[in-house]
Amino acid sequence: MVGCESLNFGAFMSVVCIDGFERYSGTSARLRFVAVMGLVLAGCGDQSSSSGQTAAGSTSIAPAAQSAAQSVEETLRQQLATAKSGDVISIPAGFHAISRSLVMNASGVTIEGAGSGRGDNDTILSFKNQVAGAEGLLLTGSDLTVTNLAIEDAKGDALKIADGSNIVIRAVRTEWTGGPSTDNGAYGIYPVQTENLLVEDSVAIAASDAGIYVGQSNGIVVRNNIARDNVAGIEIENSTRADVYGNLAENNTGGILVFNMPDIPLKGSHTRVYDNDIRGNNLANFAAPGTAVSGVPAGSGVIINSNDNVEIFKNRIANNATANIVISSYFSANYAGRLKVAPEFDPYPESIYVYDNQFAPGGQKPGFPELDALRIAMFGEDGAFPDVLWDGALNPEIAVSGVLPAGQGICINNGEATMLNADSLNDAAGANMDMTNHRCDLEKLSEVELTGVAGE
Amino acid sequence: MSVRHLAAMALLACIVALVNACAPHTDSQTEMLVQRFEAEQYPTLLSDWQLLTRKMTETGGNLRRASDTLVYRINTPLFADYTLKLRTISLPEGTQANFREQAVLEFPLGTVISKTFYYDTRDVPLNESASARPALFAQDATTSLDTTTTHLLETRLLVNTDEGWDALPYIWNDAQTDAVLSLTGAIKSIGDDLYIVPSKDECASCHALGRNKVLHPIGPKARHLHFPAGQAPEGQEPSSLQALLDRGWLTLPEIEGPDADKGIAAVMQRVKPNAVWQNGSSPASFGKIELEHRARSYLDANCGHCHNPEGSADTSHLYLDYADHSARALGECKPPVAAGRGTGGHLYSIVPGEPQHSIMSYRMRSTNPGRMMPETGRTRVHEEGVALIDEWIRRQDGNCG
Repeated sequence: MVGCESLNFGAFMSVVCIDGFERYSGTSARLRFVAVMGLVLAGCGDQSSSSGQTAAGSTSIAPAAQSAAQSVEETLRQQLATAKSGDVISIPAGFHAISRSLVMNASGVTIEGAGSGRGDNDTILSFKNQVAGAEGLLLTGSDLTVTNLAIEDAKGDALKIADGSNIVIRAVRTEWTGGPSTDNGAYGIYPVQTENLLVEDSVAIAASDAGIYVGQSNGIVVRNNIARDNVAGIEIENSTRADVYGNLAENNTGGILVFNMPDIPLKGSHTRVYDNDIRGNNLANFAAPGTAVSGVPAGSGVIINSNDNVEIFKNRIANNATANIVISSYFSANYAGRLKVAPEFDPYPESIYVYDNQFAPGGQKPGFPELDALRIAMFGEDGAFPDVLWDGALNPEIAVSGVLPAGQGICINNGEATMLNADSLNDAAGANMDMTNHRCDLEKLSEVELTGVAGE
Repeated sequence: MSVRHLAAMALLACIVALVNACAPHTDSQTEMLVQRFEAEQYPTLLSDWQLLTRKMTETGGNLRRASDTLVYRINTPLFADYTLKLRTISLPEGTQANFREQAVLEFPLGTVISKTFYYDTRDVPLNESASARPALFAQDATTSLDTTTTHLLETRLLVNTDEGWDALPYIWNDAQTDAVLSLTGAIKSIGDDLYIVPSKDECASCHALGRNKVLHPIGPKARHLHFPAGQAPEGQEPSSLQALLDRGWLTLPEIEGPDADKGIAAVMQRVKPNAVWQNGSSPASFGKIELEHRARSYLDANCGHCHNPEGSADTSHLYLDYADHSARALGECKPPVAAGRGTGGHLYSIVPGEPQHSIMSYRMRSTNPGRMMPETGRTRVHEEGVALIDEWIRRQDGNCG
């Protein structure tokens, strides 16, 4: 009765319990004895007994290699669940339907496919019929590489990598195959809270927020990627020391965004956007209302919002119908614009340096009605905004007579390119094209050097 | 310390195993004791732990629980698709947990915590939608289970090893005779509904803290383990902390002054226990303070394990653990950071007075994997939970200006 007293079900159940226990003892006593003896030996440190223990029934976890019948999904899941440093998890070519998020918490692991394209020889993880989990592939850890695979139609974010150092995302495609839709997941490639991050040779298509979104990270290189048909092509948010170069951002709502959001401790700064092709980002905004990017006007080439120490140079920027470059404060970002800002948040962009870019015409048809009205009022029905549009908001605590101190200004030193100060906080009452205080130079930012990143 | 501990554990394992091995197998007096394993030797079958063992009989059967386990209860538990839960804890003989006021109790090596998810099939047949089960919310198991009236889904173990906690999901087989280890989780069909068993790493997405994502238990915090005065369900132990003390598995901090002999009661005056989130009455009937306490307790249990300054949702800076956070950090007029279409078109986590315009309500009401909160652990809406949070938001003052 001792073994059953905890059951506490009264007399009847106790009888049942005894009966059950006797049956157990009768049928499996031998097995149990052998198993326990195995345990004794193993517990006392005799390593040679481990195989005997397995044979006795206290089997260890089955290895990843399973019968041929096991699906790629299940094999992959087991590899992820048991991954340890040094592992290379290879996913074979093919179209693999995945039913729920793939999650791994491990460091020092490479996850590689056979290719990131759309062919039979590529590795495509399709989440079209995903029933659970907020991401396609969710990784937490350091020294991680993800390469040569595609993630399609995730219900939420396609590839999220959180909380780690030395992260490489190389030749990965994230895509929602039905094209732009508010029902698509938010982010394609989404590293957040990382240090020493390299995103290269990847493709991000049709995310309902940002194709490539780097959040709350430090030490970042985003290069030679293609972002198209997203709301935001590439977004660097609340991050420090980022180099964004050699990318193509085309047919997004906004091409490349450098943002700062309130209520996040890491304040973004020191981002260089250079040698990119940023063209035709005129896609109608399809973000969910309430998201930061839902306030991005269609036709934005580069947007700097509330961020400091940003350089935009040697890019080829063309045919972005709001403006090739937009520089704005938190107050004119459309999101949550009514909100009183927390005192520690700096809503103003400062130390912004635009130089040596090649501009082709843009600004012909701004994405917001009030901006379009301003265009017509200032430049005529067939006129266009200049290459740079600034909301004109200045931090009253540092501006003197409407001018930012030397070294903290909005500097446009880009040949003949001009900037419109839209004076957005005063309903454009003082809108002007005065470049007097903006033909300036700033000390250039230094290159981001990644240390400890594979392939660097 | 860890080597010595290990040696002690190994010795203990030997002794325990020997005791079992030498016990007369036909003797029904034999105690079932929890077996402990090295990480590489975790058994495939739950029964090998001897922690919970299904005994079949002609009339059904029951779940036999090892005698060196204690059933514990949580005042406001995590919602998991209207499942009921049997929670057990087992400490190695001669060891004790250290009390912690706010963090999880500090458990010794060798501690095995289990949580078994099941449906009670008495009132609602298994093939009916789980949303028909809310009446059972307060009926988590207090001792063990009569398996003739339950359907066992999964048993998750948390095992404290010298390399940290391990999470081990065991899935009960269809015959309900045993549960099988599955590090990768599973999708089960229950009637017309899906029930998702999380993978080991999905467990970690809630059970991990800090930069290194160290796994740890969530439930056994002092504030969860103690029912506020008068709120324990009738006839039930009002404090699992007290039960741990009685068992000799917990040491309390020194209490000085006039309350020195009041034990748990004195300690829990400092550590305010969470409320029982619901007592069957409508949230509208709660006074403002009571409503606040219940809502914060609910958010603590259902959201705070990720939404805290060290949790995996710290990227959002929405903090919902039951600590002293600013109104903004709790969501008031807070714009989303990376919610994507989880905003439901709304601007702020909470718009005071307007749950219908609050992202928090929207995400709790969603079942779309890309939009809902929590992200894992449910496929259905916790209607009663959302009703509580809605009422809490409805009665908040202010506007987002």
